[in-house]
Amino acid sequence: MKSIRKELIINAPVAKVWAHLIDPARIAGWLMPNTFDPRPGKAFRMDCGTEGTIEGVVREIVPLKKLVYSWTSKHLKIETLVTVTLKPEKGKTRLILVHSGWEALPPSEEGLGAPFDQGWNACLKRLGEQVSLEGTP
Amino acid sequence: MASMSGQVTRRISASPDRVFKALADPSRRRILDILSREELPLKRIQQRFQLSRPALIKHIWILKSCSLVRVRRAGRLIYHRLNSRPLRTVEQWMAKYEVFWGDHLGRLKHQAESEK
Repeated sequence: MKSIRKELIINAPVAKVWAHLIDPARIAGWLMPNTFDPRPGKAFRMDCGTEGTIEGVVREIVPLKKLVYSWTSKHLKIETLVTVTLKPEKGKTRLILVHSGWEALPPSEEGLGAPFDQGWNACLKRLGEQVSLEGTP
Repeated sequence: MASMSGQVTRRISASPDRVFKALADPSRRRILDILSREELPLKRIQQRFQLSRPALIKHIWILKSCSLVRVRRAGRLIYHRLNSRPLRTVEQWMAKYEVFWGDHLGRLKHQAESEK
């Protein structure tokens, strides 16, 4: 399963870190301007500059413990999933973020809903390498 | 590079098949390599090649029709540039988001720790 995993210790109690995860004003400080609404089923947008607008839906909330939301954009096209979990650790907070769902990515972003194909991606990758190797120095 | 909203017409389709065929030609790969470094008008692209103008125009047309090349007009000149989006693999998307989350979670940490 393809996913991105990030883990860090934050020197602040869980309640404080949780506030930064769900309050739109605080989210804007570390992530981006947004219309986040921390309730299951609620849709939101994040203004991502070069990546355009991120659209998501809150899937699951367990206060102070877990936050799950979908993450997609016009460029990304597929729906990926972001899962954040918090664990208290001696007055600090261990935060784990998993960004998953990458298997659903089609070979070409603008592909017409083509199913994900390992062979195709490998081909494109080789061609991409070839492009950079053939260039004049 | 700044992303323009694409000129989406019925003829432009970055389907895997089209992208693959576009990349299969060495002249077109060379054009993409040149355009990956800088935006250029047609005349300048031609100066780097032993290609006739009609042949170059045909290659550019093929590349544009699958979104590998985008253009912008500046006065009387039309600048061509590489659009690498059709080439982006899963690995590249994930690498991008590895950096993205590393960066933003760092900010979250700083923000949460700084708040009184």
